[in-house]
Amino acid sequence: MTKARARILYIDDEDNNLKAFKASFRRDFEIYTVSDANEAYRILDEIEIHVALADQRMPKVSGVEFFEKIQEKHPDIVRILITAYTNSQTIIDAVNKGKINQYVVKPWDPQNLKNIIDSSFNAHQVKKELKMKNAELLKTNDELNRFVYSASHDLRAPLMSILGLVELSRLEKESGDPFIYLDMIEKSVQKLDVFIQNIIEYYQNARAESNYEQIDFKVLVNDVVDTLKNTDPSVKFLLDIEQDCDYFNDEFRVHVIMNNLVSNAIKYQKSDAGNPEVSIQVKVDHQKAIIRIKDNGVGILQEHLENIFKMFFRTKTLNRTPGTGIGLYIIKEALSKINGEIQVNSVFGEGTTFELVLPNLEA
Amino acid sequence: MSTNPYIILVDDNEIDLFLHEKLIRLSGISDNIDRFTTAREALDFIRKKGPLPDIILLDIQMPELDGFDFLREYEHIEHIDRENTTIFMVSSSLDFGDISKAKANPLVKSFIKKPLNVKELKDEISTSAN
Repeated sequence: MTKARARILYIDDEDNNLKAFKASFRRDFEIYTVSDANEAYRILDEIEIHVALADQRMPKVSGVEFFEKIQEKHPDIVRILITAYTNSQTIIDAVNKGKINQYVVKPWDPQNLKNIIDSSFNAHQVKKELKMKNAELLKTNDELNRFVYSASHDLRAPLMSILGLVELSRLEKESGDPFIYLDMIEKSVQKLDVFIQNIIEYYQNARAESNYEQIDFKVLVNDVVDTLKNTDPSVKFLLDIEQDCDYFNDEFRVHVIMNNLVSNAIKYQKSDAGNPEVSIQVKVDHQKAIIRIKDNGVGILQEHLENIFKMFFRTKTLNRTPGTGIGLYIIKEALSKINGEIQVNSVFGEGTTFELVLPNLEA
Repeated sequence: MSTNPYIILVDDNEIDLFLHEKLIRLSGISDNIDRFTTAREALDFIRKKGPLPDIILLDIQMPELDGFDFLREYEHIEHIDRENTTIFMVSSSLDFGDISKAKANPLVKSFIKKPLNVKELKDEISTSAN
C-alpha cells in the first residue's frame, strides 16, 4: 500500500503567501489554501486534514485564535503557527491557548518547512494509529470479558451435566442400567464441542491475514451443503448459482460466513415442519456476489433482530435448539474484514432470509 | 415443610432437568415435581394460582429471561403467598458476580452449584424447613 499523502490546510490573509506555499509543495502534499477562517472551518468539517498552518497576523482572527477555536472539534490536527514577529506574549498564547505543535518564523525556508510538515504528519499518523489500536484493545477487552463470563457457563455446563449423570448412574447402580445415560452424555459432549469449535473459528477469523483467491461458488456452496446436510437429512436444499465470471475474495472467510449461515438455516427449522427447505441463491458479476440464504424455519422475533449479531446473544427458539451465540458474531466479524454487507429479513414462525453482498476483488 | 414437598425445576437445559428430577426422586426428597424449560412458563404457571411450590430450583443462565429476571417478576406477582416457598438458585457458573448476586437476593435461600449433590440438597432443604 502506498503511504497516504499528508493533507495540509494553510490559512493566510495574504494571497501571495498562499500561492508561494502551493507552488513549493504541491508535489509533496495535498494542499488546501484559504484566506478566510470561516472557509477553513468548513473545509475542516468536510475533509480530514492532517496538518494545519496558520499565519499569526490576520485581520479578523489571529492564528492563535484560529487554533484555539478548532481545538475542541479537531484535536488531532497538528498545528503550525507561522509568524514574522517573535513577540513573547504571542509565543506564550500560541503554546497555552492555541496548543500549537510547531512555531515557524517567516520567511520560511522551503526545505526546512517541508521537513517540519513531514515530521508533523508522521506524528499525526502515529497518534491516529495509537487511537485505532486503543479502540481495538477496548473491543478485545470487552470480548474477553464476555468470553470469560460465557465460558464459565458454556464450557462448564455440559461437563456438569455429565458429572451429574455419572453420579446418577452410581446411585442407580443396583437397580438401573447406566448405559441409558450414554445418549445424554454424548449430547453434552457434542454441545461442548460445538462451543469449542465456534471459539476456535472465531479466533482464526480474527487473526488470519486476508488471502485473496479465486472462488468458484458452485464448488464452495456444494462443499458447504455436503458437510452440513447430514446434521438434518430431512432438509431439502434448493441451489441456484449463477457465476459467469471470475470472482476473487478471501475464500476462508467466505466459507466461514456461508457455513455459519447455512448451518443456522438447518438448525433453526421448525420441529414439526413437513417440508423443511433451505434455498441458496448466488449471483456473481464483476463487482460483487449477491448471496441469498432463505429458510422456512422458526424465524426471528422483530425485537431480537438488532441483537442477533452481538457476541453471545441467543434467543429462545421454538424448537429449543440453543445456539452458542457466536455464529452470527463470527459472520459479522468476517464480513467486516472483507467489506461485505449483510441484511436480514425474518417473519417469526415463517422463516428467515439473509442477503449478503460481497465485493468481487477481481484484480 | 411437608414430607413430600412440591418442587418445581426451572432450567433451559433438558438434561439437567431430567437429572435433577431423577436425583430428587431417588434420594427420597420428593416425588411431586414439575419442570419448566423457560422462566416465562414457570412464571405463568405460578400466576395461575394453582398449588404454589414449596421449593423452586432456579437455574441462573437461561436465554430470554434468566434466573434473576425470574426473581424480579416473581417478586411482583400479586396475591400469592411467597412465605411458604423456598427458592434455591442452581448453576454451573463460577462467575463471582452471579454467585454473590444470587446469595444477596433476599428471595433466594442459597446458591447450589451444579452438578447437584443429593446430600447437599437434602441438607439445604432440611435447614430451610427449620
